[in-house]
Amino acid sequence: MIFALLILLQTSGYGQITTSDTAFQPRLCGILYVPGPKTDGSPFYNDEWMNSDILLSNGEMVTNKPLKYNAYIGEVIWFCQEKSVQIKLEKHFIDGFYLKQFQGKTVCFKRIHVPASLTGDTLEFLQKHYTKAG
Amino acid sequence: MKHSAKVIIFSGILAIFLSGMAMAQTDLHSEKVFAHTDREVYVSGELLFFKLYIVDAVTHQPSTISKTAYVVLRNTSNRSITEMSFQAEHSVAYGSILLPDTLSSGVYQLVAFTHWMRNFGESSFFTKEIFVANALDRDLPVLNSLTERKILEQDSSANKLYHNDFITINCDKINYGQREKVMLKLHYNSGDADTVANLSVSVSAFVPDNYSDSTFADFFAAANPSSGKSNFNRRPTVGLPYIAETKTEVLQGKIKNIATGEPVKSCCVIISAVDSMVNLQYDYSRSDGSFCFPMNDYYNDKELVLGIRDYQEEENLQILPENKFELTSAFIPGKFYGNEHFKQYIKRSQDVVRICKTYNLQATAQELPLLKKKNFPPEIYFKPTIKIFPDDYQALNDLSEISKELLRTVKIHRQNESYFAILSDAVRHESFSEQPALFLDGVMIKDLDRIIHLGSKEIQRVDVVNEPLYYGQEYFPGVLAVFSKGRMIDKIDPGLASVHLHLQPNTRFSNDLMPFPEGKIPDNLPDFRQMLYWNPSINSKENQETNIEFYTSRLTGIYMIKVEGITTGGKAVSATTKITVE
Repeated sequence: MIFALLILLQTSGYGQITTSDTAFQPRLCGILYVPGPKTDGSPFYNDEWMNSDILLSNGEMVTNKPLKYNAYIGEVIWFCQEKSVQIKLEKHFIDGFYLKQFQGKTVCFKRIHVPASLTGDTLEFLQKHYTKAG
Repeated sequence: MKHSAKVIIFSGILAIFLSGMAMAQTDLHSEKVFAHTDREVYVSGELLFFKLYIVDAVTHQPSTISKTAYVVLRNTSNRSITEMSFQAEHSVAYGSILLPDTLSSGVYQLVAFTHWMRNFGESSFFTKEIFVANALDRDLPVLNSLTERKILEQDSSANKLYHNDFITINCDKINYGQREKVMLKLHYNSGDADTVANLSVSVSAFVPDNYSDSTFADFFAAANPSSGKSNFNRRPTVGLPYIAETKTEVLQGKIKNIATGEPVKSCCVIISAVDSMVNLQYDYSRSDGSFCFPMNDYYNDKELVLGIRDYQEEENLQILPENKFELTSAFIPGKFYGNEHFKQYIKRSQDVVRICKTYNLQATAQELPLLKKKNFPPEIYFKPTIKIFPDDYQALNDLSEISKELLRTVKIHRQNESYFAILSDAVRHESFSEQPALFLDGVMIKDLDRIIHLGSKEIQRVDVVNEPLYYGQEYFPGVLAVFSKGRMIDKIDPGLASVHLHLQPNTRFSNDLMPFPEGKIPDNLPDFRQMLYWNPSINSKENQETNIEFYTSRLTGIYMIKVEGITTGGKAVSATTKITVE
């Protein structure tokens, strides 16, 4: 016990470099998500909150956030544990997200821009299956 | 028996603790900065050229920590003359400082450091004395005071030449004629295969019988703890409060209670740039009252406003942003001494500067655009629910009228002489119970009373977000953002114990000296340059020769060629030699 405490004390006091790379966690941004009326079946790609990483459009990565992907409305929902609220993330600020450990593997979704002349352009998330080599 | 067991256990614990401390100390990467300047003596109105090398304090290899370096030029009264920050690329930065025409004659100190080095005290900062003579000060009385101080301790290092084994300078001749081409060969040989030396070369008129600046190799030797003359404190002063600027610059500061002077924790400190979009970062103050923000290039050259969210005046708080250029240690000059040779040298320099200025022949360095990074502003919404431009409609007297006529989802009420706004919530289809987040010119403000008087004449645009917004953990019951035509935020106090700041933009320079990058001034112009060559960016491979060419001027005398640099293996490279122009 004493050994562990001493080792913890010495390593926390010295040898740690606080850098502008590690000191700041990027912020997620969105609006309150209010679930719609009950439906048959689930609108979610993953019914359970899943530990995920989010790639922001500024190139930064937000790691280990509980996410659900509502495939029906094409929105990413974040469960903000500190406030106990569900937040619909602003699509324009997200380039993609990674659901970790979805059925034992990481599933990647990338945002694409869908041009549409009549209904107006939209942003959609598509699941990435292949990465072209070379 | 019991006693000896206790001793063994205690010794074991102590041994582990001490070894851990030693290990942690080894892991502690501090930095050093060395500056190579083109000269040591200047005339006001000239540019001081320099190159900064940022190295790991332990390995002496180019540092991978800081990407920004700070330079302060101060006088003997410890007043800053110039404060600049420079973007470092591959652990070097170079640039120039304009010495103002009005600068009085005297000794000045150039101080160079990184934000990370603040953890190790100001004694770890690089310092160098330079002498600046005012262009109109012909009597130079300041030299008399220098003589009195220095005459007792003649600097034996003055006039010395220096070279270490890693680099040699070979000139095609020793004596040159006026305006003759000089060809130098630098031969780099450190014994470490596959290493590259990053060098800077200066060639300038030799200052007789005076202070000779220490070389990069001297600097390393002096800072080596084993030499016994280290002034470099590797241990942090108190913890590691200053964040290393590895990626972006940072802004740190503290919140304190004005009445008690005590630090205040758990305050939501916010920062916004005055802009045509709402932008915001927040941080909660820690137990020591400290807060910090990453400052990417978006903030460069912008007016910034710090505040405390939900601030009540009775809280009596003050925001104290860090002054990144602050120096608390005193500058005590002591390297220059004034003798007749020095006086004559300065007078000649004053004449030379006057001629060069008349014919616009002064060397300058071209400022380059900063290295481009993806720097997005920290927006809290992408698209407002409503966006209006009051100029598109009939003129309205104030914000209350604008909301009534043009903003159907905003209700402004008056209660007890104060105005407040309530938005309708488009998500829950009801009205918010709290006032929305209010912004003026991109900056959060405390209450509506501060902007209620603004009408169509003053307002350019109004954004309304009718949704319950979250930015990180911060909740905003909608947003009402007003953008004024004439930066009203400069005149209106946001009311959040606000502090206005202006971040100095980083600078980055080319290594070409203007107006004659090729070094040859046309024959019809009076060429009396004292600084014949300055190149802060030469890369020399192991066992390879680097050729340098430049032209002498019409100014006869001795010139000092100085090469400084660092190898990728962490070795200092220093060499000096002299040539004569007859």
